[in-house]
Amino acid sequence: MLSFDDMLRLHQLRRVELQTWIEQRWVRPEAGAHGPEFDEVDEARVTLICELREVCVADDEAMEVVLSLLDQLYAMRRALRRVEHAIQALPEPMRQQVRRSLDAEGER
Amino acid sequence: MRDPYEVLGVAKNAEIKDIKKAYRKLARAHHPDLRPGDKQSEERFKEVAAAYDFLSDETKKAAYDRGEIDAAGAPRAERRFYRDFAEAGRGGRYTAAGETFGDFENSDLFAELFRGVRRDTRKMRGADVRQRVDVDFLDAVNGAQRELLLPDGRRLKVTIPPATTDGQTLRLKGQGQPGPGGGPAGDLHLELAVRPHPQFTRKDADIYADLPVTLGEAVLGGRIEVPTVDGVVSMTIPRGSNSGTRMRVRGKGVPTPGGTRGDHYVTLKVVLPDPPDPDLTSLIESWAANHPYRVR
Repeated sequence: MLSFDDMLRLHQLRRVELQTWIEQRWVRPEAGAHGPEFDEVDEARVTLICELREVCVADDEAMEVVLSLLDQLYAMRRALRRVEHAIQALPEPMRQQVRRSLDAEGER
Repeated sequence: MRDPYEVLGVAKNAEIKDIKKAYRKLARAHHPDLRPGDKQSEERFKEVAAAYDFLSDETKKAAYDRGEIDAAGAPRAERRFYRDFAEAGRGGRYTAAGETFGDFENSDLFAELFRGVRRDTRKMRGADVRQRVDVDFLDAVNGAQRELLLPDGRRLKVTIPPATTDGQTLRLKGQGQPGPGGGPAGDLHLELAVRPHPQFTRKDADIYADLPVTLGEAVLGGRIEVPTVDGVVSMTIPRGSNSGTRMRVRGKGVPTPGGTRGDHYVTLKVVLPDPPDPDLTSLIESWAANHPYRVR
């Protein structure tokens, strides 16, 4: 787990920057006894935000939108995987039926 | 590494700004977190980033352009992309706001699929902060209430405890980082650096100082005023006191937990008149010849 100051140092951020990102829920660290604690997922999230800034997201408003869309995208992918697993777990005849139904949908 | 110019798709004489533009375009196109289903994107992105890192290092680029080195890049540290966590479900707390899937949540098949794990930042305590500030020697010894200027620009009224030692830390509750979303603030750990004093030196509960005395005071003795950390005191110098004589003033040192104070020690230093006094000189001329004494 990394501390607030660890994150500032590793990603060369200003105090008020990271503070704002937490307030806007772009990063959601756990609440520790001495302040926010960041795990690997939070760290990867901060790296992503820094890279988005570097290559395409010029301002906070755009970042808000990009992160929101990304979160929706990942939620959809997670949901789709679970649906896939659920269907794979069905007996073969039922899987066939689902497959045929999906194919039919595609052609409309 | 492949030729970095080739990787970025720029000519060898391209300007830095064009190299950067090319990097940004390719990075956008291949960033793994922006294309979660694309297996190749990680390798492609790392290659592009490595090429740009290489070419944006002036020394390396110049050496490579002159043919002195090849583009063998340092292997990029293994890093995890956000998509690796998000796909696996560990990004659960970053689930999009519930309303965005409102149309699915009412479906009996999918209601569970879009429930995320929420991490509420509202009550989170702010981070603790460490800072260092200078305090005056006498304030540290006797204790004081002072408005201090902190390195972050804030002015804070601080109670400096008596007998504060150099490096001692004060914990000021709620003066650290504010809690995000209105949660309680963290603490400020303030390290107190005690400035040295021109005359006084502290050792535990006692204070040490040199005490300059005149030739007359040293030879003939007398009462003199002596500054201490606890005000000026009157001391009697015995007749014939030599340089180096140590004398003690009780209870005029550093406050102790018991409510008393340590002691104040002075070391006498006999000082001749400056500039030299002609009367004294002629007096000593006649005296010294008849009164030799051994000191070395």
